[in-house]
Formats: sequence, C-alpha cells, structure tokens
Amino acid sequence: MFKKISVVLLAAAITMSSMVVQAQAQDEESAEADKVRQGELAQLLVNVLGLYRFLPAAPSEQEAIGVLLANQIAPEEGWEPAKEVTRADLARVIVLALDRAAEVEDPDEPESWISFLSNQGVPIDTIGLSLTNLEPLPEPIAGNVFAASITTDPLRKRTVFGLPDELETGTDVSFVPSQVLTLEDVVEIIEQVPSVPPRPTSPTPD
Amino acid sequence: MKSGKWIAVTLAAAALLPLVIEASEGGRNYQLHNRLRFEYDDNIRDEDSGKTSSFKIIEEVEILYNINLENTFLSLRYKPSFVWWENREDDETDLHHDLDFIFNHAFNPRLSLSIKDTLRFAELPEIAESGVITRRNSDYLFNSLNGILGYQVTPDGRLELGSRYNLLRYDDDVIAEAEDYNLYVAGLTYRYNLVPETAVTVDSRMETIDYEGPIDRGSDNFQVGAGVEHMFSPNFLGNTRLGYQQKDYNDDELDSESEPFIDASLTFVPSPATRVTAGVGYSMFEADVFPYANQNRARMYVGAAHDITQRISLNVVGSYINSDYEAVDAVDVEGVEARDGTEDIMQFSTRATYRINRSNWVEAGWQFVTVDSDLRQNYDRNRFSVGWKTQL
Repeated sequence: MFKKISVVLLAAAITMSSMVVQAQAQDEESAEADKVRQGELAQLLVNVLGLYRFLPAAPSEQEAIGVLLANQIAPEEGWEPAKEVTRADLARVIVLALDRAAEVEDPDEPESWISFLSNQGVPIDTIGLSLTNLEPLPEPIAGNVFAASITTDPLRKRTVFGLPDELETGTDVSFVPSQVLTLEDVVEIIEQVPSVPPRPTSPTPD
Repeated sequence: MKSGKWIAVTLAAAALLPLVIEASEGGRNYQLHNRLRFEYDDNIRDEDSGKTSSFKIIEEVEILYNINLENTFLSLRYKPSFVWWENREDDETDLHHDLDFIFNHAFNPRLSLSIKDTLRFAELPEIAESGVITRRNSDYLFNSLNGILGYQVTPDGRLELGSRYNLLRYDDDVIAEAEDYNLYVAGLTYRYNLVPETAVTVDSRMETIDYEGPIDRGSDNFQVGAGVEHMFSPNFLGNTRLGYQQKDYNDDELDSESEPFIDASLTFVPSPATRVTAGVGYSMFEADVFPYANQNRARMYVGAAHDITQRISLNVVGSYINSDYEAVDAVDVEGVEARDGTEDIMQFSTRATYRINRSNWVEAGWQFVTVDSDLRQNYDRNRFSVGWKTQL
C-alpha cells in the first residue's frame, strides 16, 4: 500500500507540474490584477489571526469563513465569498480583528469604521498593508478538537493525540479520557496471562 | 524519551529565536501569553470506585510568531505546560510540549503549497499504588506532518494533492511494542464552485497504518467520497462528505471490510453575540482498544459561545461518542480473548471568561466526562478550575 501511495503521489505531482507550466504561460498572457474577493480575504485573515491551527492545511474559503464567524469577524452583511472586498468591508473586519469595535463612533455607518482606522494611522488602501497591523487573536474561539474528530477524511481527521487540555469552542477538554489500569486489571492480567504484556494504556488525553 | 525531549527543546529554541530578533526590532508579529489555572480533579486515575482526587496547578506559556510576506506565510506556535499535582505521590509533576508549524506559499496565482506540522510531547509518568504499577510510563512523542499542493485548474475548479505522515513513539518498551505506529495518507481532491455559495468536491484517499511491534493491527484503507459545502446565508454555513471505504488488514486472519462513511458540520451565528457549531460523523476508525484493529465509530458534538456582556463570555460544548468493537476485528494474541463490545463516552465542558482589560482575563470552568464501556473501565470524572490569562 505504501508503494501505491508513493506512485499515486508521484503521478499526481507530474500531472500537476505540467499543468503549472501551462498555467504560467496563461498567466503571463493575462497579467491583469484581479480584485480580491471576500473568500480570499478570509483565507488571509485566518493566517495572520493565528486561527490556522484550528483548520486543516490549505483550508477552503468556507472553512476559513466558518472560523472567522465563530470569532465574530465578518463584513456588515456577513461573508459572501464571491463578492469583491470594499474599503468599508476591509475596515470593519480589521477593526473587529483588533477587538476595537466598541470604539467606533457610529457602527451603523460604514465610513465611521474607515475613519476610526484612519485616525489610528492604519492604512486600508491595500489589503496587504492593512493586515500587517493585525496580531493573532489572544482569545480565539474555534471548534478544533471535536470538529476535526468527526471528519472522515484521513487527510484532515483528528488523531487521538493532543494535550490534556485543549480549547474547544472556548472550553477546556480532554478529548479522549486516559485509560488507566486499575489494580484489579493488573492483577487479573498477571494471573491469567502472565506471558502477555499488560494491556497498554493510551497516553492521555487526547 | 531522551531523543524526544531534545527534539522538543530544539524546536522550542527554533521557535523562540525569531521572536527575540523580532522583539528587538520592535515588530508585532508575535504574541506571548501566560495562563495559570488552579484545578480540582475528583478522579485523577479514571477509576470506577475508590477515586483519588487532587488539586492541580497548571501553568502554560504560549508563544506565537508569524512571518507574513507577499506570497509566503510562516507561523510557529509553541506552548509548554507544567502541571503540579497536590495528591499524586509517585510523580508530582508533568511537563508537556505543544508545537505547531505552518508554511503557506503561493508560487503563482494558480499554484500554492501548504505544509502544517503538529508536534506533541507529553509526560504521563508511571503510577504505582501499594507497590503495584497501575499505569505504565506512557510518555510519548507524536508528530503529524500534512502537506497540500493546490492548483486552480479553472476559475471555479481546484485540484488538490495531499499527503500526511503521522508518527507515534512511546517511551516504555512494552507499550511501544503494541502501540507505536507510522501512518501514511495520500489523496486527490477536486473542488468545483457550482455557484458562489456552493462548492462540491470529489475525492479519493489511500491510508496505510503500520505498527512497529510484532502484534500487527495495521491496515490499508481506501476511500472514495464526495462532498458539498454550502452557505445557507452569510451567517450560516454547513458541509457534508460521504462515500465508501474499504479496509484490508495486514493480519491475514482478518477479513477485509467495507462500510459507508459520512460526516456533516455547521456553523451558525444567530446574533452578533452568539455562535453555534455542531457536527456528526460515522466511519470505520483506528481502534483505541487493544488488540482490536478497527472500530465503527459514531460521534457528534454541539458547541455554543455567547457574549453575555462585552466583558463576559460563556462557552459550552458537549459531545457523544459511540464505538462498536467486534471480536472478528481483533488480532489473535495468546491469552487475550477478544469479544464484541460497545463504548459510550459523553463529555461536557463549559467555561466563563471575564475580560478585565485588553490584556487580562479571568476564567472559571467545569469539565465532565463519563465512560460506559464493555471493554475497559467505566468511570466519571469532574474537573473544576479557575484561572488567569494574560497577554504579555
């Protein structure tokens, strides 16, 4: 099976390499810069806000949006992946990510969010510059332990190892309980099957 | 686990070095948190009767460092945690290490690479009672390396090639012989955006798990699946994946099995102050109980977070796991008689936080777990804690 996996990976990599060459040629032909969509902005935000650890590698736009929603970060009308990012949208999500929404004078007025950032000296002319002002969230809320454990995808599923207390939707959990052998268990094993190693315990928590 | 400790320390130093450099330049790409908790645990050994309780002091330091360039994002997170037990005479302290690393790079607008590594090193010392070992030394090193190469084939279509390598190593030779494993996964996914709110996926996965010791519970697992991601509204989204999987065991005495699998989850924000997440899943899964090579597992969870005021937040989560083990899925070990059995595990956790200011939080939490198993010990366990978190 391991050989099969290696062959599949190699074949796929070769196929993708040839596609990359074609794509580069096409990209050179059309060098026009695209506008940034909200879905793309969401993917950038989960990185700089330190939320990536609640997501699998290369999360989809929807996965990124889900974790931002859980942390109350969204444009005024909510996330619309295909919609182009406006200055007002950008200002709002930046302020929310900075956890300073309470300081915005008139939250119902989009210009107020922009003004607040301008007064703070935060540029919002480009997304790249704006994001440099963000830091990882100090108290992130995200479902990581259970959400990853219910997925059936071997590339994304949660294995049984983690730390004793992991934050799950803001609460501490021990994912899988530790399996401690009791005195009775040990005595029973020793008496009945002395030639067999004791039933292994699993590390904790999980 | 000497080598494991050195790996952990080396990685920690690697994580701290850029932090120090950045700090000296006055940058702000890093964060440093400290979390101190006092906890009461009413069943520290997960016993059915004759429970032992203990107070604990848990000290966690979390260091997070990001490098965000135009086409590249690099992040390191390191969190050591130290635990002192008031009533665990054999070994009063534990030290755990938790390291996450992520590297994202866009080669061009179409091609991107994402690598994520998760390292866990935990101390779970031997515990003895009346001169009898009740738990062997279970110190372990676990690492999961995950890579995804993504290519935007068309404006709406994306192809992803993924791989994963998990490694588990125990310190104790007896446990290592039965539990140490290597797990390899490869997969292809094609994602297509039907409309801006809906994406569909088709995928295939190959997974193989090889145990290091002579008792081989390993298997090869092949999956084909399809999924849907849908935004019902800008504040309500959900996804599902379903398909079929086949499992071929390394042990020739065990018959191959095939089963459908399904999972689904949703995130809902009914009001600006409330977030709800929920999910369910069912599949064949690696066995948590020795000497089984498989379990059929159903799992569900519901979580909610609500801001009572601007300073006070309440978080609640509950989960339920049902696992079915069959004797026909157990490898033959001399002297061990496998039987059919079921496990039910329920877990509930809640935590309230009060934000004193932008850098300080106090918190109180309660966790409860109950295990009802045909195959191992039943128990209930409660933990109550209060704590203080600060951003340095």
